[in-house]
Amino acid sequence: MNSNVLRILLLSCFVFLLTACVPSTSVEDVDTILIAGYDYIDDEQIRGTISIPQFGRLETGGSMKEKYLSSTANTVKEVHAKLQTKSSKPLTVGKLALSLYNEELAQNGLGEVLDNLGRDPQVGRDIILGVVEGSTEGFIKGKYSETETAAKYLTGLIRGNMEKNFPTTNLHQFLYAYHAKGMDGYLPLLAQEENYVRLTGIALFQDGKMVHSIPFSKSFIFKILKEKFQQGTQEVEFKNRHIVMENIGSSVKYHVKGKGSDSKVRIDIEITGIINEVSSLDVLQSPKMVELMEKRFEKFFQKQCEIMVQDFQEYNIDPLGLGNTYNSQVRGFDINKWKEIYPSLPIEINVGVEIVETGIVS
Amino acid sequence: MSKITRENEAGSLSIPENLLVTSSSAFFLINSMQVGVGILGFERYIARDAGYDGWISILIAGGILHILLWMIFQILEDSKGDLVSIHRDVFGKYAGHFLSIIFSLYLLLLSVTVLRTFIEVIQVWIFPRLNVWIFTFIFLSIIYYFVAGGFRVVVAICLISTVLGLPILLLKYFPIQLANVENLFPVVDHSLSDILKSVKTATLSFLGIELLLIYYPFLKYPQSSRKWAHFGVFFTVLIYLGSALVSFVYYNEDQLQHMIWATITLWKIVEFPFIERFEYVGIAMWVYIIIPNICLALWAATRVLKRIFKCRQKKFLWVYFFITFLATGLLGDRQSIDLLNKYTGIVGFYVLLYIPVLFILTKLVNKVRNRK
Repeated sequence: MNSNVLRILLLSCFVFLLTACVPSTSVEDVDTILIAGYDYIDDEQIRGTISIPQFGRLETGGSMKEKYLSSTANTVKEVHAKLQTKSSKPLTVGKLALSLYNEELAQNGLGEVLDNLGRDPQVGRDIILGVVEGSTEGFIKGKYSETETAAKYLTGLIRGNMEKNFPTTNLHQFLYAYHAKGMDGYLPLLAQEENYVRLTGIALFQDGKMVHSIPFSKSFIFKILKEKFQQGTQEVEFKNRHIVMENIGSSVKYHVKGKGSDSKVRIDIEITGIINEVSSLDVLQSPKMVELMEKRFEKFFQKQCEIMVQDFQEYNIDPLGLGNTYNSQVRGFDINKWKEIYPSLPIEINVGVEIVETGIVS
Repeated sequence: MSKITRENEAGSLSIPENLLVTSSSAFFLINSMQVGVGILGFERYIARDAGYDGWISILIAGGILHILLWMIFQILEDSKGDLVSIHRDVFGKYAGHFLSIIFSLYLLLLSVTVLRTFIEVIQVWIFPRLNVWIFTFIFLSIIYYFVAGGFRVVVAICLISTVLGLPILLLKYFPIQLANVENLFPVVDHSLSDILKSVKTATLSFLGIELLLIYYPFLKYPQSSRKWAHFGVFFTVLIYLGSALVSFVYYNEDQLQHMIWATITLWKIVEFPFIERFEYVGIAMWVYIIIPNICLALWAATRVLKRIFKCRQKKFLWVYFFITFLATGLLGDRQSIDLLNKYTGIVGFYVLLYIPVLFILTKLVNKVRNRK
């Protein structure tokens, strides 16, 4: 009896106490930052711009409303503190989807911004980072869509392309490469054009600093060198005409041979594809033609991959993570030694292309 | 040693049959005590010495744990009692009781460490402005409610905790999508001494089997509990091994050293359409993993005192709760919590070292007695 009374008392205690432990905030009472962009001003200062969606007015049929705020300060946290002074509601980064940097800032190093993103428990690990040509301020403020927020438009654009020709990227992967010995990161490169946004290429980094970039037209080449995937298309010239191959399964493997300065790297790429578009039907008439096409594609990919890898070696960047592979296949890995041999490392590339179908017409 | 004598001995500890628990409970008791707040961030410590060969250390540590568990069962079967009566038999009344009280204080330290570390997780990840005093009070009230319910209630909590913990393991699916399996190679790239150092660290993550010394008389069929207890340890090793492997392929070595809570950071990549930040759910679910930890430790700690002073357990419970409350509230920052964890680790290591010693001593004492 006595213990029952005590139990009920305790239980009712919890009911009241558990609701009042910390000050709570509801979704309507906070400003959720969806996009944050940072621009380089000088060695000391950066300018931050954020976009906040304004909910609750859509039912009336009005367009999607967004609020933009900008501030200049010395550190990322300070930018956020200053932005808060311009906002009527508390700012939260819990739903941050995109973090953008202008090219100049990227070239000067993203270390500080990355530390801020990596340390904040509220920020997710699958957010997208990107480098913007020009200023991020104008980029974020550009109205791109009537029906959806800029954040949704931009993440949709990048994620959609990640499933096709563009290599996968998110905060975790960039942080992984940033901390890794023998791997350098890469981010999407974006540009604003009138009222839409274009993925212009891949920004390549070295120790958190952007040092080089490759155009979007080469991103399929980069992707087959980098990862296993099942999408994407590549066009190639064949007998003065153009044919387009759709990739239905591509895999890549790195092999390391030898030790120290005698090391050699071999990259094996296997692509299975279907012919998607042929500018003239008569090219497809014989099975021999398909074989010739395979040869043509193999030669094309081999050449392009070699050019790209040599380019990486010239800039002494390793976005493919060959150093990581080297580490896993050779005992007693020494990062300094690797950095020494990498620019002159012989890299052999073997590409195998198999065309399995040529569409529903013959 | 026949079964009947053991049951008689259990009877002499005056535990009525309706308070005994079934053999399979040993599985949940062992497993839920071993899986606690440590698993949220142990990867970093294991990888510090042995790098990504750390998973080998986990396997070795698991083997050691099985041997220690076997020893504990051996000790208990020979003496037919619990830690208090073993200590009394081996060291005499005063020295024996003194050692038992130290063990009780160790369990108190363990529960303070678990509670404070978990509250720190909540403070860092969810509520930076959390009032530790109020939260500790509420948390301890819940735990008091369970512990006051007696051993069988604590066992039930252990079972619920193990079952509720299982779905969390499925979340490893998301980080595996981004795995770099080559991180694990080349296998055994570190020296033996490095791996042994990391074995020590790994063993500390598995603290919790020593509580068997206290609740053993509550097991109705000790003989068949044996295999369940070993299953429990095996399952724990599997969970730790899986967690470590997933973290190792998801982070690279330098990155992992920056992760205080590798497992929670791992949850950040989990993506569901209906929930953006899964780690909040994960941490909330972890309360169920933490509660049996503290319940069992505090129950065992006060049980020791009850056996020594022949007094009501609830009185000691109040005292221990008060101490836990004060200690948890007073420990403020990351540094002191880290220090607390470090010292608990050291004490725990000696407790584990003490088990083989006790094993040899009981064997010797038994031999001498049998000669007489």
